[in-house]
Amino acid sequence: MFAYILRRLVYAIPILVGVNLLTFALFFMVNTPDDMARMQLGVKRVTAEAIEKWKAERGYDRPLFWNGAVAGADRATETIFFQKSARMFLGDFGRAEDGRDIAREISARMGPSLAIAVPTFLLGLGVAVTLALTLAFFRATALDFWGVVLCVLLMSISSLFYIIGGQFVFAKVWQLVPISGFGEGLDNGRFLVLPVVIGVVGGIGASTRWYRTLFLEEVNKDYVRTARAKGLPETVVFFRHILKNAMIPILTGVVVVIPSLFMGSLLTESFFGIPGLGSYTIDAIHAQDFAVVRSMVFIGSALYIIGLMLTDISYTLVDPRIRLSS
Amino acid sequence: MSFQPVLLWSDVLLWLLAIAVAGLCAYSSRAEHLRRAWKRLGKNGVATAAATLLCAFLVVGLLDSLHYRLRLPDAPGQTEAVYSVETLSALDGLLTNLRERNEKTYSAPLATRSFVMETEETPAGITRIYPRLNYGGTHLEDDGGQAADVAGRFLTGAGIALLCGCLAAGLVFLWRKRRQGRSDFAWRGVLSALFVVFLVAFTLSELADVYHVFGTDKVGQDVLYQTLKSIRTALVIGLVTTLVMLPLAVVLGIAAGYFRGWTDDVIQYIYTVLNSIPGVLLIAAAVLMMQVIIDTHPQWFSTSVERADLRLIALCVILGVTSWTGLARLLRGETLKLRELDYIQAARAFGVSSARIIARHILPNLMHIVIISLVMDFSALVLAEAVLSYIGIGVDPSMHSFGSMINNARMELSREPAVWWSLAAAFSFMLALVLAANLFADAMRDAFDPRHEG
Amino acid sequence: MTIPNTHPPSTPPTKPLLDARGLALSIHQENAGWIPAVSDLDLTIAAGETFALVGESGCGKSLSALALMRLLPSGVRILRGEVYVQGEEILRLPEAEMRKRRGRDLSMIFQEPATSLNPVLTIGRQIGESLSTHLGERGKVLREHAADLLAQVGINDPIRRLSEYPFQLSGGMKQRVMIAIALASSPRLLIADEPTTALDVTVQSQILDLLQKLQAERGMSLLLITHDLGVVARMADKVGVMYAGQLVECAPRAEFFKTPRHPYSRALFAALPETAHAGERLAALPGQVPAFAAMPKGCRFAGRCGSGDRGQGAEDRARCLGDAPLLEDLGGGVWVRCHFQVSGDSVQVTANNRRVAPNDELPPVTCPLSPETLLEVRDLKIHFPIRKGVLQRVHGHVRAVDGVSLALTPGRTLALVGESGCGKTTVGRSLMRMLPMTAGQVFWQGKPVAPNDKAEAKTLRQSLQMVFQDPYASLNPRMSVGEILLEGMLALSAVSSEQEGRERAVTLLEQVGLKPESLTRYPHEFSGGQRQRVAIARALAVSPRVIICDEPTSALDVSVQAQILNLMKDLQTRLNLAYLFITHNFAVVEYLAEDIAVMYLGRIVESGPTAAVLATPAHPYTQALLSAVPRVEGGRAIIRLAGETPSPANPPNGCHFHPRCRKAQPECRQSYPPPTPVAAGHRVNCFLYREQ
Repeated sequence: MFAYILRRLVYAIPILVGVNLLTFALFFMVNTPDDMARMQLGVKRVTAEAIEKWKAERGYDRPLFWNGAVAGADRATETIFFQKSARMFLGDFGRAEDGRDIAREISARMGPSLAIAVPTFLLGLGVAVTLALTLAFFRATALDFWGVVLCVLLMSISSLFYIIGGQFVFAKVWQLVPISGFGEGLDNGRFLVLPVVIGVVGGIGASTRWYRTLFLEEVNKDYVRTARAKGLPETVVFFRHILKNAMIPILTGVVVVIPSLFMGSLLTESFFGIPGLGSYTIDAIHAQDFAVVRSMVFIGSALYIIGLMLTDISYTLVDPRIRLSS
Repeated sequence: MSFQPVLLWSDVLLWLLAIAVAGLCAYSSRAEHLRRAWKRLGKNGVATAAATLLCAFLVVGLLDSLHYRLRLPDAPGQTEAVYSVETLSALDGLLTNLRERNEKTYSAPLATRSFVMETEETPAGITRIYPRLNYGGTHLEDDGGQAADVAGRFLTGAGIALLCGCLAAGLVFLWRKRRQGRSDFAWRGVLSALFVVFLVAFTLSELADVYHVFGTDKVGQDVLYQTLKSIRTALVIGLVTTLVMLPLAVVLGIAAGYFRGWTDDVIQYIYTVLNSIPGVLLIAAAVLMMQVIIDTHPQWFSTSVERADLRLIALCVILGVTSWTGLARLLRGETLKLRELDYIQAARAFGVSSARIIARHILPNLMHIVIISLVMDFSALVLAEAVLSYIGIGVDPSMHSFGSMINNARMELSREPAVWWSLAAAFSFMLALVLAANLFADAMRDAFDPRHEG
Repeated sequence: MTIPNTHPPSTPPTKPLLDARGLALSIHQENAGWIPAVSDLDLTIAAGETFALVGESGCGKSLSALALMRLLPSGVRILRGEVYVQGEEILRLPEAEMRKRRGRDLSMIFQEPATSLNPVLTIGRQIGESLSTHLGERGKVLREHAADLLAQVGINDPIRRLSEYPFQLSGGMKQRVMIAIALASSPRLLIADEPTTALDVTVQSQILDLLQKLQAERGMSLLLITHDLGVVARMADKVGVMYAGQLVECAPRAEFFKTPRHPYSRALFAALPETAHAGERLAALPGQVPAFAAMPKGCRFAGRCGSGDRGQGAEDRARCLGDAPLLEDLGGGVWVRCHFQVSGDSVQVTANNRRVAPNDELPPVTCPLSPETLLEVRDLKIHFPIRKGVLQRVHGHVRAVDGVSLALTPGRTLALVGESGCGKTTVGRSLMRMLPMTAGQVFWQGKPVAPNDKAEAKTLRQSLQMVFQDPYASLNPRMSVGEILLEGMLALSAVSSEQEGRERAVTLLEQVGLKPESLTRYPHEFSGGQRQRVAIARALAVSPRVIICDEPTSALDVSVQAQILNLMKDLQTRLNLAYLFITHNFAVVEYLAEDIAVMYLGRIVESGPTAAVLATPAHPYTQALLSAVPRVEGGRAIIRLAGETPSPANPPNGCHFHPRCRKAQPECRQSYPPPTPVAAGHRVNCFLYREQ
């Protein structure tokens, strides 16, 4: 078990390096820093000096990989790659266009992101599993049929509509909750209700349908027949036998996104004015702040890789076949 | 010539794709197992209805993909023909009415008066009134008769639709009679969807003659026109992306599963890396970089339409490159299972080459996965376009798309009273498109699943 | 009420435990809707009695059993009929009431122990569920009862096993656990649906012993569903034969084995390879079971029946085709569904009803008869590395094949026999170069073959072909039969043009008894036996000298198996082929093979001429294996083997078999015995024969 986790960790490093190289190539090799400067400065103010100044302020005036102009180890470290990409491994993300320290900004914004993402995730999982179980339990009935139709309908609606429509109806017309904002302490609840509910409803169609297929796949297996042959009531067959088996793919499927909850939700946060990492990312994309986007890509991938590892570990925890044989 | 055809990249690709889809259908009617799957699909009324609806959208999209520039009237002493800088499409030509009748600003659906009050000087003094629109409902002397007029036009449209529907039903009846009911193709699905399409098309065209059926937006442009133009964008995103994604996914997925060893390691590494970057961020990063390229090379494009078009294609490429991993992983897994099967072992025992084994044994047995996932991805991509355009990393702002419509409409809802019609129009058309695609994908998954084969 | 005897003379009880009357089922098919499947099934089982329901796949025997439990899958439903259990009708009980009967009055065990247990619940939990549901037991009482049940089904260390998961148990143990679950609340009737089909023959023997023992102890009735007449002979008091959804014959065991009345029952016996004499053709039934959707109006067997003793005239034939016979009482507990049932005991499977020879008219292809060895393998080893740890370093090997030597000669068959996991399939696949050899030498016509020489590889490929076990997995469902046959010919340039290939394909199809039209059809349009014919034609397409047959008949019904075995024998004589026949079925070996090699844990333990080895098996393993095979004629003392085959990753020291061997001596633990001749060509690896 320990060796297994260690092995996964060892595998994770080259992937993170790959992500880093890929983003570096995207940001610094597809376009040169000069191009970026020109765009940031706008066509009117472009002069050679302005570009140089822009680059120097941001440390983009170094060579990409190898600095022949300096001596010793600095040849490798006094480069854009080392300063901008490699140092991310050390938690140094540099500064945003507005001069703020990105790392500090990120740590300050994680809280609000989690305040939305965690309840949405838990509630969404609970509701979807319950609904899917209900549909699977009443399989091949009218309830199941219309339930699936409703799921397809729900998943055919863009998430933008859920947010815009929800805000319009609940906040503007009925004025049940504030349209947007974020508060402190208990008071925060009234800001969170709507985004969480919308987040849950928006995701319910796809996940319910998916979980239902997983349940139905189990329903026809031989061990279910054995359980029925024992004379167990259908509810026990369902909740003890089928649920337990179907939860393995469900759980391991959702574990991978758990770390990424830190990243928050781009749309929800920006619509509801929540000062989390999602809205931070959107603002950075709108402002074309490359440093922030790059940092978020790095963090996002790191979290995903942690998610993959957690998935492997959760497999070993929930599935005795893997737990006891490795 | 009074016009000059313009060939945009996306036009070429969309038409090629339409032809390719037709070709694929022709191929699959020869391949025995696929023909059986199509037959199963044809028996499903929901599937045929959804397919009919999708075809209607496709027709609009294809009409919008025939571009041309009109010739300007000759100036005196001019020897060479001069063409307008404005690139139009066949759809624009059909919808000249809608395109050109711009109001000053917002107007509600079917309105005869503006949505915004204006100050008007009358002999009685300065009053604030809702002025009559420049085009909407101008045929009415008095806008009190608007309701009756709308109802009349709607009924006319519905009447024509009914007539056409009956005609179609009659044709189908004759056809079936000739075939003596040998096929159990679900014509009822086609006919009911066709009737809905007729109803919408004819009532809209009756009304759109003299009204802005879905109202106008902030700058007075007809919302129906924008909605129809958005269809093409959605189709291009949904279809052209698969053109990029498919070869990557099929080649890499099968190669990884079949050859295993280091090939597998490398391909798995690539897709884990791509997968580990949050999708939106990867797209955002790539789009931002693409924008820099486009902005720093204005000399590449002769018209703004061309620039917007290239941006659209680039977006498709980026979406394709970032979304092949799912299908590739699926195909790799299936290939791993297939390659151990006895019939592939038998082929190896004959010394059949790897390329041939992949082409003859593996690919045909994976076709159903590829087809299903293509249809499933289509709706996901249409939805993704809206989100990306909202974030500002989608299509060019000058291009009509559901995403940019929603993006613009978002602020309108907070007006007092709210301007809801842009959003509603985008919502209903997008829902119809995505829902049809999802229902079709669902039916397809059932029909093509080999577990249903006897 | 209970008769504690394994084979009680069936005394007619006053009131049967189970009485099914006129049970009829229908199944749903995509194109045809609801169609009748099982019809007019009458069954009576007395308390303490074993009733064996026999039939080939698809005859409806498993569905009938599930119907008795009211556990039919969603595509099947009960049309009509009554089922009385202890005098109470159960088909019309409310589901909640029926649930109380399941597990308490009626229990069931299934064919696949591997999938029939819930993989994520412990053994204890799965047994306990039944106990708590029916007996209301909780806590310590329940645990002790569960452990006691495990002990009763012969599982060692039951307390520890309770907290284990199914995947930690071997196949035989899983089936024991299934039995423990089924017995948990002492049912009156146990339905066993092919309980040993998925198991090895020595394990099968253990499970059958166990069932007999438990039945005797508890006075339980047993409804045994099987396709294996050997199992029936060993277990049953009464036998029912099903064909195409109908019971065609029902008789006490002794009577049934002495005089099978229905032509189908007799055909089943005639098709058994073990009842035939070596060299003689098997009496295969022509054609196949009619589909439920296209059931003939008259006798359902009429289309394949050729042996009605009296029903031979045209008038009689018309009666069979037009008029469905009823199940008639012949007295003495014998019921038969035939217009021309045999009344006396004069049944002889005569030569003229052994009718199968689709291609006798084809002239034999003359090949130079060469007595010399075609293919020889010496000291073949195939090891698979086991990787562990952070760096996936090799931590030992699975010794799947560990020093096997074989020689194949033209016109002869060598049977490689052993239980699952002994490495016999691995040997076949490595000869085909589907697996890399770890060590060993290959000789083709006496010359060593370089493993990496491309030209030699191609010749070998052409000369060596394979027929696989599962005819459903060995043909690409996406290719027509023509494409399948052409593929190999073109790849090995056995034909110069596609046209020539097509002509050859037609000839091949005729050779294997298929029509030329089959060329454009797809595998799913064929039955299992026909598919296996296609697979044989594919192997023959490149004119090989050696065919490796990996259990080619084990997925087929006995009557179809006979067709395929006849075909293979014909082809061998005509084309002078050498067969390596990999199998676990001794009956087939006896019929087909001249030589035999018995494998255990990656090594050959005994080899020699088939007749000699089967008549006087020398190795204790061979002796046990042979004795465990259920025989129709019965009467052989069974040598019971303890435990199951150990893992080839960690074989026992010394003789691999010594932990299970009753005659093991101290030296067996020390070193592996060398091959010792016991008779001409008959060699055995055992210290018992050292002195000779």
